[in-house]
Amino acid sequence: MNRTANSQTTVTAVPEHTVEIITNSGEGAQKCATIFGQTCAKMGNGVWTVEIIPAEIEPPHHTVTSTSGNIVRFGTEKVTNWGDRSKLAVAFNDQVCLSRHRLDSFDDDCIILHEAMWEKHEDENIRNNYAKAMEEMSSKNYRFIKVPIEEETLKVVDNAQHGKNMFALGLLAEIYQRDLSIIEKQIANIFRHKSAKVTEVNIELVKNGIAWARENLDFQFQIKSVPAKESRVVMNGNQAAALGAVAAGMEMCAMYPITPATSVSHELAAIIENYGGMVHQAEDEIAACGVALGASYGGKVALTVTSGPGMALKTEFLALAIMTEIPLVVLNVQRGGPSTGLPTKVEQSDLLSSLYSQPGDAPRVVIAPRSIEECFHAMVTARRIAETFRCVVIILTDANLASGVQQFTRPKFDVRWQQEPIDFSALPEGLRPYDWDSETGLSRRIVPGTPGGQHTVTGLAHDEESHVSYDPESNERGCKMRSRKLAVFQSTLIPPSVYGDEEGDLLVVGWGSTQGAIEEAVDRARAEGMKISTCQLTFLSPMEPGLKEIFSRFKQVMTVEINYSDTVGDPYITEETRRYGQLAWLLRAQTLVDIDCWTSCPGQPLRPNDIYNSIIDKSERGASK
Amino acid sequence: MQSEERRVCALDAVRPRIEQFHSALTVTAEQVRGLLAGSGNTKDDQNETLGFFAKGKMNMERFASFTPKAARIQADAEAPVRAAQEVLKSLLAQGDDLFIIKTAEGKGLGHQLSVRLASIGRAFAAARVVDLAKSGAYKEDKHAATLERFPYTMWNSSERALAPALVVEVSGADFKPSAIVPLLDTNMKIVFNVSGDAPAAALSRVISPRVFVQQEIGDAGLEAFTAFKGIAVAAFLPSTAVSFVHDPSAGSTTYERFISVTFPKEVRKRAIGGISPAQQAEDYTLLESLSVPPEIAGDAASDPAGKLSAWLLNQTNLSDLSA
Repeated sequence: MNRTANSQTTVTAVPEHTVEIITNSGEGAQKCATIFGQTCAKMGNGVWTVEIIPAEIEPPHHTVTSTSGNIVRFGTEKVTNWGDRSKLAVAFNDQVCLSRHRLDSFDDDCIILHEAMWEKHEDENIRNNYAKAMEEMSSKNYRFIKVPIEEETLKVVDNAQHGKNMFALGLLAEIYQRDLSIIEKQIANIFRHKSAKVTEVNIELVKNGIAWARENLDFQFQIKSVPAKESRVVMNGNQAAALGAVAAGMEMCAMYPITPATSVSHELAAIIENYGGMVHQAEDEIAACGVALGASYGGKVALTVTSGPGMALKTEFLALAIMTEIPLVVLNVQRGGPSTGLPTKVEQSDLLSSLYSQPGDAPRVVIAPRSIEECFHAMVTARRIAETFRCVVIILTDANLASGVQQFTRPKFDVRWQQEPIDFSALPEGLRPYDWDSETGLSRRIVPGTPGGQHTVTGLAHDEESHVSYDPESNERGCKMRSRKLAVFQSTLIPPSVYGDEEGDLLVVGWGSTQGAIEEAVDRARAEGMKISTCQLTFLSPMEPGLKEIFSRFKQVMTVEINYSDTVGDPYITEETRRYGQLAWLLRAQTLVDIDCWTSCPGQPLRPNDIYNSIIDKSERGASK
Repeated sequence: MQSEERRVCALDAVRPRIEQFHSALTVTAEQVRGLLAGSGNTKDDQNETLGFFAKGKMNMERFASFTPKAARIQADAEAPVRAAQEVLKSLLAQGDDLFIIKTAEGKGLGHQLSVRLASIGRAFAAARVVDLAKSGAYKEDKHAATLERFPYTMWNSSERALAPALVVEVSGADFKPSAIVPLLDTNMKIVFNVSGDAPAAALSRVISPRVFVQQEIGDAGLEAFTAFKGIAVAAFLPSTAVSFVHDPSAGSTTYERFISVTFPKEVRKRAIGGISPAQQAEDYTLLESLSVPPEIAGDAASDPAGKLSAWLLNQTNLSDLSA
């Protein structure tokens, strides 16, 4: 549908924008933003979306704690992170708007389309709270535009709770000239399991939103869309991981529900049986790990999915997997911690616990996808590593990747991803269950039932025969062989690439989901002539080779991470007592290089501008030394 | 809808399930081919098995030096794996025809469906044989025959979940759907394209709480049938039949699940395919009784208290109470 702005409308061309839809929990902001984001992606815009999820399941409505919503950043070029502050917001009430203001989420001249009815509401408390909120927000130069969202919605439906989101979608469609035919298809798809009437009503609401905006708003933004040449898919990181698990030939996913990882199992449960696999929801995290381990022991390709608190509970079974050398892929979708921490929020705080949480020496592989696309492909590689090296592979994603939505090139499935590496030829005479190659630590995996391969497995220290053995030499050899495999695996890794010049004043090192934000911040600094580069690590255990040599080419090295670190100068915090960010801690130990860190744990992804400021700060401090 | 249109509509309705089965069959066949060919030997194979994530991050060749050169099998396992491969190839070669059954008159509907499913089931038998052969557990005398015939009764729950949908062309005289009840499990989907005169309420006997059933006499499509997750049976019937849709997702009580019912003005009273008018009338009555709200019992309606309690019972949904 072609729409033209009326003569009083100012159309401003911009390369990108960040938009927020903020509501009470349960008012459909996610659906509105999902459709809007997917429409942008299908039109050819780069997109990244971030969910705003209240910590409680049913927080009281019309309060600052009830804020639910979604942030959509979209532009002409590829978008790799949620960006900085929002340029436009649609707010269903003053309190959710206030909560975002307090988090400094809005740009100083942000346009805020907000529900008009609260100002003169019959409830005095609501009126007073509204006035106070507007007063507090008046410190900024926001442009508030009152919109009769509920009133307009009630013209179409009886219950505005089930329709305001679609009216808001119509507002955005008009402001950004989105293709209505794509929106209609998205709505039809989302409501495909409901009656045709539901789709019709929702489309009518969108059209009403468009009409209202056309009649009453005097601005539009034009963000050029360039349709992609190749076929693309749009999804969040948990969906990508689930599809990747199927593509990798995973036959069993055993899990126990935990935010923000649960939707991986939802996605898998919907499709995996079509491909001969199954999802098992166990009675708890421990059992889930045990079931996956048992399936893998039996020769199946197994996965268990969890988040930080679940990882803690799986500790013992993961140690058993390492001791018995049973391959296992573990997906840890990180959230804030410790304990139950911040269930719906993002943090990169499980790095060290993923590396070291087992008792004894328990080497394992840890990898961290850097984008939603990599969440898909990492599953294929993780399976192969686990099976080849008879080891545990932990994949660390986080809530940012899990619920963020991005488009990427449609993966071309290759049946060889599912090629099983198990050697089913006759077992050589006298082969022992742990016939470790003394150089590599590798040994042939014997699947139960293989003629001549009968043996018991044990979590106790064992010898090559898999017999319990407590003698010093045997235990030493077992430890050495399990550790050796990691060194052998590391020999297959390539030094990480550096984004920017190969040498310079400052190297920013990150890992996992922060890649997009860090690179954007580094681009800004480089545009100002600063000699800054970045390097985003994907292998955390073992680490990619050549790091020390890369670091040596920069005057300073600093990690950027979403976790906690002390600040020197705070009470009791000195260079000696300071606790570093987890990656910095690891790199300092690994390379003996004096690596600094800038970390933050706000429960939300890092913003490019905050990283940029940390870069400036570090550069200035470094220069003054 | 003309006969040819119905055929196309029926095939479209089951297309997603056919494609799903085909996809699984293709992947299995490719894996077996790889197993026999020693897939994993070439550099290209090794590169691809590691996937896109590893590109630029890992030295594929070096990684390959630590992997078994192929998923090898024991020498005596090769023959059964090759036999399984032939079965998979032959099933794939049949394309859509594998899922379309043109029934022969007088041979029994249930029997002919069972025979076809036993043929389709060879795909599962082939996968089982490969697994058994790999692990050395294959027994010629016990397992070879399953490659010839693997009846539905032997399919496990996962295999039943993968069952492809069927399009069955059958004459009205042979259309006796009660014979297919043993096949209705997990995910089974069947569309009947019935030609000639047929009993008016033929599908009434397959109605049960979790089975989607649609009798279609006009131009309505089968979108709801396709979208339904679970067991579903549909039939295109002559215009003299009852038209109805029984959708388990539409309600908790039987009559609520009938989202549409249209009874013909008159029903022919003659035997069809050995089904007497009385038997047809019974099917018809069964459908009528299932598709209307329960009435207040006569005795209960005779006094005010009885009327009230009957009315209350009628208003209260007790369907979730256990017996």
